[in-house]
Amino acid sequence: MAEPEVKAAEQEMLAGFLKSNETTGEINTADNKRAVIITRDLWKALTDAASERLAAEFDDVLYSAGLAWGAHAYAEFNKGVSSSQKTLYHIRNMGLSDFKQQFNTYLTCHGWGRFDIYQKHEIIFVDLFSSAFPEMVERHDAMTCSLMAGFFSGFFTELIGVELSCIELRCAGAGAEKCTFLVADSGITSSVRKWLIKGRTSDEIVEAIAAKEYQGKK
Amino acid sequence: MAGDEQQKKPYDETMESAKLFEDIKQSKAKQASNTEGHLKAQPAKAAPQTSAEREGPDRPSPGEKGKATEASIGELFSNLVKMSPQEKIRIEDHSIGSLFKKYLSKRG
Repeated sequence: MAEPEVKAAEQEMLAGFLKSNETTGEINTADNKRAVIITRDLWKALTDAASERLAAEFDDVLYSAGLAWGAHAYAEFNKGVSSSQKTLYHIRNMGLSDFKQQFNTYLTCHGWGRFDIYQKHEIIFVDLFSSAFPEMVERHDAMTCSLMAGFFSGFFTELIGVELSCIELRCAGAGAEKCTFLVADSGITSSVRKWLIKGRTSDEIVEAIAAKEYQGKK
Repeated sequence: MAGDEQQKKPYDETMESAKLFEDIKQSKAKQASNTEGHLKAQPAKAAPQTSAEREGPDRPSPGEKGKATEASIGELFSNLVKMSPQEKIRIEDHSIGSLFKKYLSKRG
């Protein structure tokens, strides 16, 4: 590919997520929110510093930040959907495929990845493909997506009207092809957390959920 | 004169009822011939080919059926909601009574 063609393609891809105003010098997201571009090194330094400072609580802080972000994202998503679908009483009544399509558009226009949601053994699972967070963190030895787990927890809690918890079962940061999250009551997610600490794999955990092992540990 | 009227009355009633009976008979015959003609005028309908045609227009097409039965995002979470403890379910009261709740609680 010739050099000018590569440049044009890069500009177009960037334009999908961000818009820059040459007069004001502002950079905005697709839905007109201010954005800041920082280098990967600065990002890494910031996360390393926070991780060092917060130690064991780092994941909890990320989860809490994600929770607030998810609740806010729900309000924004709700506003967008309500304005385009006037007859819809509540987002809960949206058809599953329509919801997936709209929510995927919302996530991808911000560059957060593509998502899928499904039910298995009466528990909700969320898959996140091409998630931005593990790519930014650049760790390949652990699950890193507490921020995204908090995000899904906050979003679906607002959507369903029930306090839900979310935990990551497998992570692209730990070598999986996608990040998989489990959305359930906090009693179940705390059992899953214990199983993960004990070293059980995601497949073993899914089997344990199918066998309703969490009921005995409540 | 009065005797004449008394004599005529039963005769007239019989005549009228006979006439009425004849009218009904004629109109029924006319209706039957009309229906026959209407049926004859209609071209023969082709045998229904698809299952949707066989079961009539009220049956939704496969695509429509899929749309009608597709679960909503809220329904996907229904099991989870059932499993959740009561205290974690946020009560969303949209009733008219909810607007007056604070006044009711003040009254105690």
